[in-house]
Amino acid sequence: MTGRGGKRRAGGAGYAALLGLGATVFGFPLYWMVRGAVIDQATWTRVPLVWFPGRDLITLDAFKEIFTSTQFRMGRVLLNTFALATMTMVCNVAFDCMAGFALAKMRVPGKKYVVVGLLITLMVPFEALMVPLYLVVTKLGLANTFPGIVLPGAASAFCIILMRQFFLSVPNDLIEAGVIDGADWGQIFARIAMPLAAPAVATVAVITFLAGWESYIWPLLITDPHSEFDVLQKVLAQATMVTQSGTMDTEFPWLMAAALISTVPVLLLFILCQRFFIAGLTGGALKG
Amino acid sequence: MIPRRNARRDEALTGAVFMLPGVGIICVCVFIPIVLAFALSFTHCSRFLTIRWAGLYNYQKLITDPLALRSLINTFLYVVTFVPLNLVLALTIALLLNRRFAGMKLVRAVYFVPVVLSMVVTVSIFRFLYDYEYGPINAVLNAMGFSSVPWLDHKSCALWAILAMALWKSSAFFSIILLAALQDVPKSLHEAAMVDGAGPISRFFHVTIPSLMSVITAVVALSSIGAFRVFVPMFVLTEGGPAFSTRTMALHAYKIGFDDGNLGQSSAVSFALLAIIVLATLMLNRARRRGT
Repeated sequence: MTGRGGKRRAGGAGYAALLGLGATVFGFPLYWMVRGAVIDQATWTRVPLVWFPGRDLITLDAFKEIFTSTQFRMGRVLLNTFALATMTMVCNVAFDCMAGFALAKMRVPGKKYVVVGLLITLMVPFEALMVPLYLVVTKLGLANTFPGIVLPGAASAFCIILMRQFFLSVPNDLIEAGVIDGADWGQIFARIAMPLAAPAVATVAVITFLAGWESYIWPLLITDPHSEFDVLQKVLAQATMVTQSGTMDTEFPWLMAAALISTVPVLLLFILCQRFFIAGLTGGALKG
Repeated sequence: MIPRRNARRDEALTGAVFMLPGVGIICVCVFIPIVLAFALSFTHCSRFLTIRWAGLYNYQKLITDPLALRSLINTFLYVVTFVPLNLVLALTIALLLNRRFAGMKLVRAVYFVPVVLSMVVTVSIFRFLYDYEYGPINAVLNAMGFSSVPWLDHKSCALWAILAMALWKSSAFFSIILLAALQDVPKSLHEAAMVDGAGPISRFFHVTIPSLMSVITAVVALSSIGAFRVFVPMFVLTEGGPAFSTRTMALHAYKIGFDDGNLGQSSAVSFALLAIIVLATLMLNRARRRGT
């Protein structure tokens, strides 16, 4: 053991340097966002760069201004984003759990093919379906409507499979006990299966809330450029594009303030529900 | 026997009703669009849905049209650099973080920052990191005596600047998965190898890598799918420019579909992308099954 300890100390400096370098690379962009959100445009464009703004340079104006700015309309946009995320979560928890339960525990002719179909859709990237999906939802008359924004994200093949896997592990005896007691399938699902599935349901809830909160391409496609249904990611992306092309006077700190606001709920969820987060991530990794 | 049969029918009916909303939405939003893309890819179709049969014309165009070919090449260039670099970085990070000491929790939290930032937020931050005049990266370069680089505004580096950003975003994510797998490698394997006189490098290649193989294949599969479908960074930061150097297939399908209104051609690009991804997934799944 002494040899090993010695070796570890010898490699210690190199290891620490590498670890520190990595931490700087990964942490710095987050710092740059926070720094950008708490200064004003004049400080931002100062040369040489203000790396660490002193207390006299720090201001929270950007946070106030994005709520009044017509470009960001943060109050409205936050409400929309929250509504989209919540609606996505509620639909997924209801639909994915029901479908997962039926696929795992009920005798439905042809359900084998449904499972295969769902597994196939896991391979299909949304980016390859943008145009035809747009056509379908527009034909349904849902362009520029809230249901139209929610629809494609309202059920997830991945989460249905996740719930099915979970329900498969529930002993059949528990279900049969319910049948013998004369409970109908709705009662068995709601009173027996769902309470048992609480951890899996939480994973689905966390994954899908975040998917709704962070969705960008679809809300962009299906709503007009300056729509009453604008969500946070769309507004932030639009503002970023505008600063890139230089066609409008957007203040840089506004973007970072909006980015910061959009990150806070994700961070909170991550801290509070880390267990379900990780389960969702690794579940996602092992599905393929 | 009659009540039993009723129960059976009841079960099948209720089961179908349970499946209906979830499976129905996926049918409408995934299956129908796939079929539609496939059908439209054989037609000339404008944005007003005037449809004319085109045969394989749109697929021919994938290779003969310079812009389509360019986006195909860009996509492959991006994938073949992204996937190996992502794996090496993710593995390095996982190994770095796979030690225990006071404060490691905090260090890990810092490394996992990219996971909590959405793609749009990441893109927005990196737009300012890459800024020509006020960007910290150029400021550091200047301090070291180099001149500023127009990261996103020059055709020779825009794709690589975006690639670096994407690596930053995804390597941390994949290192979480690899770290979990690393911690599952039985200690006894390492100890046995040490008894046999294997050094740390030899142990890494003969113990660690083989025991991670199935997870590594999963990482390669997932990251190549992610790389093939890359869209948001190009869409927001460069719009495919400068000089089409960041035009990828997903972006190309979007541009000719929504901007030019050429839905037939766009569907062919979408369907080709879809086919490439499905093929890549199937191949990697096969490799994985053979590997384990």
